Amino acid sequence: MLPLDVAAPWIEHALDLSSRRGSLIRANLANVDTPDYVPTDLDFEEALRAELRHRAHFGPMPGEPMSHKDESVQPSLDGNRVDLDREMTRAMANRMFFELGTEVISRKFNMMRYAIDEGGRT
Amino acid sequence: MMSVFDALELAGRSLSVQRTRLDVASSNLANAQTTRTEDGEFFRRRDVVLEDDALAASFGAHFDHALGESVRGVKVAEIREDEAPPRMVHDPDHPDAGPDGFVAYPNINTVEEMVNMITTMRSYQANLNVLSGLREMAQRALGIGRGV
Amino acid sequence: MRINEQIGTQPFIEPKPYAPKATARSGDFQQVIDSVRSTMQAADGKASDAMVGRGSIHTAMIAMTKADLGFRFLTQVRGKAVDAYRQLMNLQF
Repeated sequence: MLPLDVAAPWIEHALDLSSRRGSLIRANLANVDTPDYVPTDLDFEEALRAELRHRAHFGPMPGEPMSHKDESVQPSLDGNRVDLDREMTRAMANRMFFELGTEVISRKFNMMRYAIDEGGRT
Repeated sequence: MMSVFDALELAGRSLSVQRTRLDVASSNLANAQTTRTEDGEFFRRRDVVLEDDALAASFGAHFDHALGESVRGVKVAEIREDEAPPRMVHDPDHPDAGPDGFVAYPNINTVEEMVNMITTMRSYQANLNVLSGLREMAQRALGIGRGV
Repeated sequence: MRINEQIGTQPFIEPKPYAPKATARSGDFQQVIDSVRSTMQAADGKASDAMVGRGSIHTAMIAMTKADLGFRFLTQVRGKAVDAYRQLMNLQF
């Protein structure tokens, strides 16, 4: 009766991005004491907006998401630039984004399931 | 209105700033008696100078700021050495004593530095509370209408 | 005391008898469908807003709940309409 939701695929791609970001953050945290290490992060917001803009197409955005080295932090004596507080906060924000994405997808699927169940009745 | 992700970023920057303040205060404390550093001088006390992040940002951010929208948060502007003169103590037998028999000690008030540390740690804790508050609110929000 | 006095001066209002429309027209149903569809689109919009950091989570969840309930209501109404149609078709004349 009502058209199947087209928007769900972009959310799945967004969750993929979030997953990748999580890996980068974990790598940064693992290297909190490595001399001369510069943390890497995805251009997450931009990648997300790109996925959203192209949600009419079913595939994910082609190519790798843009990432950048975060030079903004002052290096410590050994040249390490990992800011523990900011990485931990980013990790938390990323987790929360992931939870939001999965909640949205779950609700959409629940609606579809309801439609299928109820449509089968009568 | 700020999204939860912006609020998290803000709290994260605050935490970072508090950590820097703590580092500087504990360094001051550790060197309260240091009469000679690498460059031969007495240890100079350091201060952390903070500034609003928005001022250093792009034109777009300026505009937002003027409209009263979105707080950008805090960052360390610089770590400044205190210009105050040293505390001179008469001790002719000290290896770092000058020709007049006086030794230059850092002008560091231990009590003051400790108070700084305690205040900073409280701010740090307060920001941690902000983070967990944000998380909890988001969890509750995610639960709206679930199981209805 | 004063309240009773005031109530005493109000004229007794005869309640209007409940008079539902004799027939539901197809236009009414279409309105409900359109309303639900726009609720669902709004929910998608709010969900996207929350994810890109443009809107709040609670607004998105409220919008999605409204869409969900609206959709379920629509499904139930459709079911009732089909039932009524069946009953009508089963009447022997």
